[in-house]
Amino acid sequence: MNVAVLVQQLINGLAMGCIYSLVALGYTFIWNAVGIVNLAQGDFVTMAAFLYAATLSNKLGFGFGLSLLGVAAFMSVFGMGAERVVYSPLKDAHPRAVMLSTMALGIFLSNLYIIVWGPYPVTTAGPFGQGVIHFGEVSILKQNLFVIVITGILLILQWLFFRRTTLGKTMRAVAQDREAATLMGIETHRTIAITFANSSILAGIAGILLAPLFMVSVDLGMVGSKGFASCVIGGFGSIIGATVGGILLGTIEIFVASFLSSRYKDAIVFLILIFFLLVRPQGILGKKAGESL
Amino acid sequence: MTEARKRELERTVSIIVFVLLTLAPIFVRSQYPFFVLCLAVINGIAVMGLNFIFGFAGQLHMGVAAFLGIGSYAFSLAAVKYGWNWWAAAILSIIVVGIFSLFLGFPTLRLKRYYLAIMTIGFQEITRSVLMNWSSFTGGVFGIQNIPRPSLFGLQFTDNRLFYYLALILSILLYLLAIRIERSRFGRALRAVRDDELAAEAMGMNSTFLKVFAFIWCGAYSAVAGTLYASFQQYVSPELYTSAYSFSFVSMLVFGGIGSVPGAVLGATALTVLMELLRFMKQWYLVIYAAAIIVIIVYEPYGLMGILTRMRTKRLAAAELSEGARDASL
Repeated sequence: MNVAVLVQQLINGLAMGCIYSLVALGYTFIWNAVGIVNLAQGDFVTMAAFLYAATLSNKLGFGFGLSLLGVAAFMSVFGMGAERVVYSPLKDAHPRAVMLSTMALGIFLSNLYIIVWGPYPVTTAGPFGQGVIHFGEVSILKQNLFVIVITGILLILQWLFFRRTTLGKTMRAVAQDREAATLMGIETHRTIAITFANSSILAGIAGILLAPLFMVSVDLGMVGSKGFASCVIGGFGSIIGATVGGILLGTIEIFVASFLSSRYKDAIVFLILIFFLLVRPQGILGKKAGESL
Repeated sequence: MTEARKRELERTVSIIVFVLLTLAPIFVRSQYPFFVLCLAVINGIAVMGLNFIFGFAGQLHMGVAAFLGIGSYAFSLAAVKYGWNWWAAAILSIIVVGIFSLFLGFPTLRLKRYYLAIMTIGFQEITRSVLMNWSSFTGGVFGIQNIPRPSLFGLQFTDNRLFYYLALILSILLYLLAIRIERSRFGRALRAVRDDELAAEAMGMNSTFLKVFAFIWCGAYSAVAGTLYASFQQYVSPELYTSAYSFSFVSMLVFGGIGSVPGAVLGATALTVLMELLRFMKQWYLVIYAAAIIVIIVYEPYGLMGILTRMRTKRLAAAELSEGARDASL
């Protein structure tokens, strides 16, 4: 195998990994804030992908920028709504109950999409179509480069948001110690709703970036499980861990698909997850947190 | 409500459900509703299994269908490909799923948090992928056909009605077993671990061992359900064992009442029948059903059993009150 193919697949893998990272970050922020796993996260990604591909891009002919804004706005409202329905009424119940309600939300959404957008997969060209850039022998899908660039920008924005803005700082405070944050006069409930909105926006952007690369169908919800796996591999609850875990998982997946077996790629990815649970449950970057509740 | 009252209620509910299931075939004439009834009984077995790990041990298990699938395939391959006796193949199926549960349960359940959820989601995908793609062994998308029906003491269960009663008898036996386990030392220890793992460990309980054991019980019940499913349909294919099917088992348990064995049977029976009745609504029925599950989790976390318990408590209180009033008037 030559170097060009290797570099090419590496970049494809990084692009896939970036998408998993975005999804994984969505899980992580919610986990850090309220200690639950949102099992509908993958269906949030699907929703944004459908919204962008079927409605905004194909039907209304919106450009990418406008679609991005539209989806982000929709997802933030939707995320807060979801928090209202599946988290807020259960905030004093066991986290198990919340995870169940998010699972039910996932079933609800994935069937709703079939009603709204029909049972057939939707394709969309995206901003670049099948455009390819050549670097010597290496040829790369423009969309894949775009995914990496957008994710990079988004990660910096998230970092600035959490470090520099008051809202970001309040969100971190709530994640660190909810009770103390409440005592300091932070409106905890509102902050949690915003955390859900933020996670939903991340899922939404993952969805729009994904839509031109794949056929958009309810099966896209699988990205949610991969994002969850990324969190475990990187170290659950760690923001850097989620990013690294996602990129690693995406790269491994593309390499497995192109050099080992494309049929068994999902199976192998999840075998890696089980391997991690076995030998390094705290993940790559996790502290010895695997054992704490 | 006292323990004795609770048991009395559980007994009443289970007797009503099983009597209804016994009598139901009398009112069913055509094939399809009969298929639904049989499915209800088989789902009941799987949900009782899920109740061990989710209800008693408190671990979210999202891949019951995968274990059911492995059970179905282990049984079908042994019976069809290698010509094993039905009962031997069924026992093999339990052993195979038990081994899978042990090897997956141990690394995952020694950890706290929600690792079982992601592991089972992943395992579901692995199973589907292997059943689908390993065509030389599993038959790929075409699955396995001509799966035999059992025979016992010279009695052939080729008739659907007869097979249904066999499944029902097995279900009742497994119900009694589950109740025994719930009330044993093991069951009590398991619930202690669910309610407060640290405290239970401080009392000298080995929480990992208990949870893995519950997971193996869950696997064994899933294997029985898988075997019955394969043998009833006389056909298996990978499309049956999807994550949607796994989610529906969780929903059935939530609907009936998490942590209650009669609740598991009640939830499985009620939801299986209800989903068939709502099927004319096409895609809407799944949307409505998912919304209903959210409503139940929020307003009635113990499902139908929760409602029944509350109704019973109220009735008892009212009875006591009127008894008190009568005593006073005398």
